[in-house]
Amino acid sequence: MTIDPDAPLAHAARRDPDAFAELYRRHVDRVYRYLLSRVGHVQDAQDLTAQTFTAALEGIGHYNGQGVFAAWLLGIARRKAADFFRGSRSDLSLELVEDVLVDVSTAHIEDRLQMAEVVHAIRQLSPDRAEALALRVFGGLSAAEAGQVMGKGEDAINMLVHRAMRDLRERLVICEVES
Amino acid sequence: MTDQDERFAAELMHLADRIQPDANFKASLEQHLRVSHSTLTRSNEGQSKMTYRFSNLGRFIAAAAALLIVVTLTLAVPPLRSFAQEMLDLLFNRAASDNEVFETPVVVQLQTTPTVTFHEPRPALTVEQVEAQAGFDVLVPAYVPAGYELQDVYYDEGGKLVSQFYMRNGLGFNLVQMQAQSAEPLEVGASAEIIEVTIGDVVGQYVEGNWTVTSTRDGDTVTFAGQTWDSDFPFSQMRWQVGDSVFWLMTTLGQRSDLPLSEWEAMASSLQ
Repeated sequence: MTIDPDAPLAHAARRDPDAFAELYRRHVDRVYRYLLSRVGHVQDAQDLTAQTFTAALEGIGHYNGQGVFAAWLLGIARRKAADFFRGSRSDLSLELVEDVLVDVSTAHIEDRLQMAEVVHAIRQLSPDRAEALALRVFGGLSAAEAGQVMGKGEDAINMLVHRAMRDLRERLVICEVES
Repeated sequence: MTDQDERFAAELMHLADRIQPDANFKASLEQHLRVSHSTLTRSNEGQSKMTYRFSNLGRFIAAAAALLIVVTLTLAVPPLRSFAQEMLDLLFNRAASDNEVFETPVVVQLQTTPTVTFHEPRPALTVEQVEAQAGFDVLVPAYVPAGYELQDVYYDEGGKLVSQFYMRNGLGFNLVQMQAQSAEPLEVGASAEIIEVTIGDVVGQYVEGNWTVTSTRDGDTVTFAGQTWDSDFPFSQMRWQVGDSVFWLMTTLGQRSDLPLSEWEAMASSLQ
């Protein structure tokens, strides 16, 4: 049996703020990237990241060691994103996405692979393809791990990601031509 | 995958790697969480002590007196004594000490890149669906204190148990049901106070406190070498057995119940 490297910290984090802070530092980038790729808005991604970790803090006692801590945490993040989409912010226009993403270190992003365009393009993919892509690319999971999250086999995930990449590339090319 | 696909995938991964939350945001959120952690811990401890020790003292004494009579009568009759002991064997076991040393210490390096294995999130299921998975009758409480609602129910194949999670105003409890052949007694510290309770016709046990992990830190290396029983740790749990089923009612770790013990007994007695 593999020991989740976060498990002892998660146990200690019930009482020790330093332990919880260490868990936060380990996972905040992953959670933020995942949420940004889903909601496409820096401020919303920050708000949802804060909501995710606040909920994790309140519920750390409910984490009973079944499953790894990161999966439990990303589960909270996914629910927060789902709550967000049930609200009124699910229809961001490309212009708005570009506006709100202007502060995402665009100096580091090459040409049309700007995050704003990528997020916009991801939002036009089918839900399964978008989710598989977000998990693989922004969540940094292997195909097998993404398959576990989505309840699909590794081959199915590879296929979804392949098709998502193809769709995404086509959409980004179209964006470039249109612009 | 074509060369074009591979180049595109690499560019996308490169882009993802460069996305970082704003440093000020990260730092301020960490600070906020640290303060919230302290506030939450103090709030939970104060609230639970107030509820349990003052509001329900009378009911607790009455329940304890009634239990004393039941337990005394039961244990005085040999056949019943044997049966009663058997029923208590799967509940709580007192450890020899309040301090335990792990056979193999767990060593963690801080600030390392985590190795993550994701598990499929549990889909939302009904009690009936979970019952079908579990292969045994799942009992639900006919009585739940006002405001508490069922949030989640699932079957854990590894533990061969069904867990129901109820919550009210951020405070929650789990009701776990497992088959006796899959159940093992739960170890508590030598100093743990085990309170016997009455659930219908059976005797159960109630305990407050929990084990806390002891650790030492040397630079970026943290070693978890053992655990110590802490009776003040905010965690409440009650276990009892009815026929072939062992039940386990507990708060979430880090929270004491906002309910008096009599309410726990009422819920447990209403299972059907």
